[in-house]
Amino acid sequence: MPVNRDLFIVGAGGLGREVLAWIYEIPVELRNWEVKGFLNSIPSALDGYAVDFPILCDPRDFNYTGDEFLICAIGDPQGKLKLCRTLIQRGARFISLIHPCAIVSPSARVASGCIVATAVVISPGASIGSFAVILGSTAIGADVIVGEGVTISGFCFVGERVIIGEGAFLGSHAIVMPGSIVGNNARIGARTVVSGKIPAGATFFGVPGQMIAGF
Amino acid sequence: MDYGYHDDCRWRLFRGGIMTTNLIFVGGGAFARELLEWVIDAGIPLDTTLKGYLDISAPDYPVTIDLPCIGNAQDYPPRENDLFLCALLEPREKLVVCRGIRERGGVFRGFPFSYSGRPRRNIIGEGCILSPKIELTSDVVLNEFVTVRSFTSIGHDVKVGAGSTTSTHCDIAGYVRIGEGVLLQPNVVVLPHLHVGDYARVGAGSVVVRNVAPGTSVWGVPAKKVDTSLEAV
Repeated sequence: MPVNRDLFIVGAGGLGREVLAWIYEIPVELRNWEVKGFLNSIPSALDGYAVDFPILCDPRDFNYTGDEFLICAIGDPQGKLKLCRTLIQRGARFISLIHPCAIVSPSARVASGCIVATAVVISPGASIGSFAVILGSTAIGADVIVGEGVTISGFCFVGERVIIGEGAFLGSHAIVMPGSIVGNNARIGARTVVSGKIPAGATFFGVPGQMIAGF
Repeated sequence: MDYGYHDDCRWRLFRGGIMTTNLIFVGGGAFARELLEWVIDAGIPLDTTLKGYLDISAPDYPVTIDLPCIGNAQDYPPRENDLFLCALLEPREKLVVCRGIRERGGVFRGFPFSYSGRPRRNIIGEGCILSPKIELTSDVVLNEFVTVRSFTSIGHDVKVGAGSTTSTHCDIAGYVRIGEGVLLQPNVVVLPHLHVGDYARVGAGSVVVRNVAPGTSVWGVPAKKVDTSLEAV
């Protein structure tokens, strides 16, 4: 009988609480873990919420053995990358959460530390980098490359062969047309349509998307 | 190249019967690859073999489907026991190619194989491809070769003309009429009772607030006429 591993959720904000709900939608027979609690820098983050698990300590102060299951539940791309890279150097090992209702092609690859939320469709040949968060009902096209730490909100469309650079953010209902290249740390607004090459660090908004910041 | 009878004859014995049906994908692009995985996931019927895909003359995408190419869609002569699945997205191309195959005697299959519109009184035409995670509410009529991609919701009493493609996350409200060969790019909203004319094209993220004239391209919030060429996705 295998021993259940201790599971910690890094981040106790809104996404952390959602992650807690999603992992309990995994069928009981597939659970080889036991939730121990949250790791969060603000100890009072769960005050006022009837969550069954405590905030144990700041993730930077935790003593990692490498045997824990860690889920990175931080939405902000830059903050998440900075924190998680520090934690990895100190022995932390992250796992990816793929919701049972998501459709992930057998030929797609999802790296460690990712969250793939409910009803997401990931098409053949797609590659999702570490610490990417893909929220509900998003469609990722064939052969897409999603960089490390990217956050893709709900209901987004990412077309075939798109490359999304490290630390980029897509607002909900954002549409990235096939073949586009989104630069590192770029931000695409809600319901914004972008195509072609999006410069690193730029902010786009509108239909069709126009650059509103990051010149 | 010779696509002779014996080359692609894949009759196999099975439980004393004969496996006869050959499934052929029309088009070998990325959507065909996705469709192939859905077909495998849904379970290939016992009497069916995956025979290959038919090329189109000018594919705009490197072919990566894991099936043999068995000919060209424009001139492939359908054999007995062949069943075709339309894996094209471009509406005009779909109508010309698929209607051509049918005129030469080919029979199309829709996806999912066992879709029943009966409880909701939906009528689904020949060769329609319904992706996973879509919503067809009730009394929807889809003409032949309509492709509906994931997360699209089609409202009550909507009629969609032959060969039209609605990409992902589209929201087509009640009583809307979509003409023949129409392209809706991702995340298009069409308000109730509106008409989208034959061969019109609607750009990604548009909100259609008035009727769209046949053959025109519209884009934006609200959608207005544009000269941009809008590709099928």
